[in-house]
Amino acid sequence: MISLTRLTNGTLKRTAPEMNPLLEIRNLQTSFHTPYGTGRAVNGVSFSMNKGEIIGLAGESGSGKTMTALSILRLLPENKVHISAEALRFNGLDLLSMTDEEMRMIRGHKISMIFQDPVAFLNPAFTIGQQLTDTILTHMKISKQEAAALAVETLSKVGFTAPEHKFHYYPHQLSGGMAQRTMIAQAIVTRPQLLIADEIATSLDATLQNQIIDLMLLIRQELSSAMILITHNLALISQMADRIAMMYAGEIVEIADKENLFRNPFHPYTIGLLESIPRIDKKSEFLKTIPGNIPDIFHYPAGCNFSDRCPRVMEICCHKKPGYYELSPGHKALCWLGERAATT
Amino acid sequence: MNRILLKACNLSKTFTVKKSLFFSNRMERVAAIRNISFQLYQGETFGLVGESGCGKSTLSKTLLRLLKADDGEVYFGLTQEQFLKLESARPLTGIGDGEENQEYRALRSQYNLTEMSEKSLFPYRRKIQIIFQNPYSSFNPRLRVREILEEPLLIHGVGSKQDREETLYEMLEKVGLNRDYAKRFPNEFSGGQQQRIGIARALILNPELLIADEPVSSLDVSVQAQIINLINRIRRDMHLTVLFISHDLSVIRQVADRAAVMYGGRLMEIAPTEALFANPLHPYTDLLIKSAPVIRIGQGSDFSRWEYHHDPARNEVVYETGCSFRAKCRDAMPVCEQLIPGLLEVQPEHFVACHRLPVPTGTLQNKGSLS
Repeated sequence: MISLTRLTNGTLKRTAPEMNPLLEIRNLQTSFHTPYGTGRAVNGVSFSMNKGEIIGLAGESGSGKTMTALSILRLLPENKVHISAEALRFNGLDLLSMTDEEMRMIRGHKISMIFQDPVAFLNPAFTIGQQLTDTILTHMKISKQEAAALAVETLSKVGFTAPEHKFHYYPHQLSGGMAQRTMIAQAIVTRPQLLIADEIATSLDATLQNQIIDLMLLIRQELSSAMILITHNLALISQMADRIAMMYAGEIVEIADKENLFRNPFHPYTIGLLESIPRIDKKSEFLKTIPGNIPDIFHYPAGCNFSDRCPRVMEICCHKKPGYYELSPGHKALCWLGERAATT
Repeated sequence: MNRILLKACNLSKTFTVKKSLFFSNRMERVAAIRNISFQLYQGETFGLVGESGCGKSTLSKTLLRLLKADDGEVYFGLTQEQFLKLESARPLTGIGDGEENQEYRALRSQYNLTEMSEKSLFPYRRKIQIIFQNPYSSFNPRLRVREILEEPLLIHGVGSKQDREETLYEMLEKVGLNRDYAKRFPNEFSGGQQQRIGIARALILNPELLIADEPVSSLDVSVQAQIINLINRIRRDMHLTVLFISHDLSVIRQVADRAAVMYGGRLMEIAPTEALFANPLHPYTDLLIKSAPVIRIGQGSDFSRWEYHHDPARNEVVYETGCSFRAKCRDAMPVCEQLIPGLLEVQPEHFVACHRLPVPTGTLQNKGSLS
């Protein structure tokens, strides 16, 4: 077993650990090679996050949210997928240059991921207790008894009543909410510094969703883990995230702290998405929509990726890619409209 | 109020499932819907809302007789006179179904969809159509869009080949799709487009009632809004009655004229949509509205949410007697464990099934009064 001390002091150099962000991503590109051509799923995503921060990746399906997360964890098949980045650093460690074995020590220990469909990610042949204990024993040097005790403790932490009893449950005996809690337990049992949560509450009912949100906020308080929250549900993200990155067609089109993004959305896509959410507090005759569909990853428009659906499209949008404009500190948008806003 | 298009009385459906033990034959009965009564007025959109597993889809399938109800009646498209005749022949509850009610029995077997023969049901199939949550899984992947849309016309023997062709192109345009798409296979479309094809297929027979079972849940918000607008527009153009099933209260608010809230296989509350949101009377409706996800910009978790019993195991308890919501209810009383609350008209057109409410002066809807 490779110990993490080797990682932290030897081969992989760490620079000024105090000043570094927890996760730094610069110009991340993920592409697939298929017989039909090269599909670009992630197109130059950059952001960095600090310890304990919750960042939300929002966007429609197919916008590259999950691909970004899987690229960070290098969970994509390397013979088919090409990942490149100017920087992809976790705690100052370059994730892209790590060996598979080093990467395995990071995954599930320092960075954990909670997947969308919990039942599909639990092994039906083992009890949830066994699966939890396995995770613990892989990453911690403790005895089996201690691991089992820790598993029970974690189960109770995520809201199981009678955890000693539920420890012996098989996944099929769990309801959707309980299965999701089990996944969360498995992700937090090693006290990771970064939790990636992919659509964790999407498949659940509203009442259960709120329980999961509360649980995640509680976990953040207790472990002070940073989180990347992936969801298309803007309501959910507004209740949890500190900062929000809107993704469209493999790019972050707007990034801002929560307050700014919801109060002063800038990018036409963000605005369109916010306006198309049906409201519960009043009835409107006609819901606003964004016409058209997200471009497929093999054929992007020549200019801005959103140009074919944008209500405020200009001539330049159709042939030249926009850059990021900083509208206020920390609030950036990938849109030609920003040029005007920045100059005036 | 308008004419009643569909009336369901005391519908029940129980499934028998095998208990999980490998080598035993122990069976368990699960009541999916229990004693459901409601009516749909012509031209309205009726929303049906509830958590997953509460029986919404079972109810819709029972109405269509894709599932056979164990008990209860479904009447569709009766005239006012037919209804009156039926109601006046209906025996009072408790006074046996003896031979003296032959007239009622005859009428009932003539009109009731749940006990009709397949043959006499056939014309009704054309009048009641459904769109499903996941359109793709409801298409035969080896059929082209043209064939998918033509199939219902063929089954019901509508028009000549040329007429059919025309109808299906017209329908494609009506749902906002290109004529050329008729040549393609369903997997070539995005989720929103697939749902449009599903809608086209349901509407091609010119039905009177459209059952939309979670038609937008699998779609992204921007596409979801497109489909909601489409359903709203088509309903007006074609004078449809729509039963709109969803777990999302905000969607129900946007589309429905009246709405019903379902929990544990029973209806908890029926009311005009505006009244339901402005003044939810059932604790479960209140809980649902309060826990609906909305954008909150304030700091952290400042939710003023309901405190309710947190034991996830109790979520699955289905009670045979008493109120099915009592395990989660903040105001459960001893009586809730013993008596099933009836659906009472507490305010005009506002029905609630809850013991907590004062005894109202209205009538029991279950007794089948004519609106």
